Amino acid sequence: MAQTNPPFMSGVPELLILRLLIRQQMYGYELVRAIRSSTGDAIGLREGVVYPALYAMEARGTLKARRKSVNGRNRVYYAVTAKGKRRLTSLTEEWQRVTGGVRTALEEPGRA
Amino acid sequence: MPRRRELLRRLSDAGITPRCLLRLDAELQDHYVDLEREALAAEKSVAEASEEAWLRLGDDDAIAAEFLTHTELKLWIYRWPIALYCLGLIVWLLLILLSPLQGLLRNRAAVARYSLALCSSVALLCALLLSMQFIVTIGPPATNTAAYSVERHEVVIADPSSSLIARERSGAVKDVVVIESTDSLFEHAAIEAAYKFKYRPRVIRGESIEVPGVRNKITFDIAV
Repeated sequence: MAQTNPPFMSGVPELLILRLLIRQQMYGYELVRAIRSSTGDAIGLREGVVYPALYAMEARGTLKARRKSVNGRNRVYYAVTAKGKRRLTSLTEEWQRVTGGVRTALEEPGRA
Repeated sequence: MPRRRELLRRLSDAGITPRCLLRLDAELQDHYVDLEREALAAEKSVAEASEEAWLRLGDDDAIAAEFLTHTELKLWIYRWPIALYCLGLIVWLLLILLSPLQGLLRNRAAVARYSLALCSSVALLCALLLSMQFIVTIGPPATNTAAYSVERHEVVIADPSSSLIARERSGAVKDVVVIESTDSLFEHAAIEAAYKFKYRPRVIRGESIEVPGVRNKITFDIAV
């Protein structure tokens, strides 16, 4: 049996951020909007809290930041590194395993 | 946007790296501008847009709490405080042992022996003191100890026209302003809290009516 990661919910923002940034690099505001629209507003967050998460992921080497001037505004764009891609694969597998387990438990007859 | 000096100061005190703080300051400002523009595009007034942008960005507590869960954003001295104590101990020992070493090099055996014994005692004493300081420093958090004091701040909030909070028919609160406060630092949190109040609507002849005229004092007790 695979080992369960107890604070698995704490990996959700990281999973979403990596999933969205692997498609294209984004800056903070753009990323929060993408989280809202991709989850159908199911995940509401205080938007400022995305920055500590981004800095921590950058410190761990899963993201890299680059300053870019767009329309006269200097923005910090975030992109996924090779290490971030490996982390995304592992987090996705872990999340699918956990949600699969929960779904099975919910669908089990007589346990509602 | 008013700069979040209090947030930056709190994070700096907690050991978050200056590089992170500079970036956070700039990115929060940028984000605020984007949120404000979004609200203005939705035809909200400047004041409403500003308030909405501030609320969506989150308060200092939420951002600080998220920062403090990531130890990798702290300076090494805050991540491994024991390293600082070890380094200090090594420097102390080197400085103390320097004197007998000089004596030995000059072939003054008696002086060297005396100095070595003296300095060893001092070194042991210092090591003991440093260990005690270390135990005290990394011991239980200050709030868990028996002796702590409480600092009290009060904010009185009310509606600008009536000097009281206006109650809407639904029982929700509107038009909150601060009348007086002992510290402006707590005003924003007090206003946010006031908007969450829910009153039972006043009913006259079976119809709920708006009630201007509610004043409230919010008290913050902070353990210091």
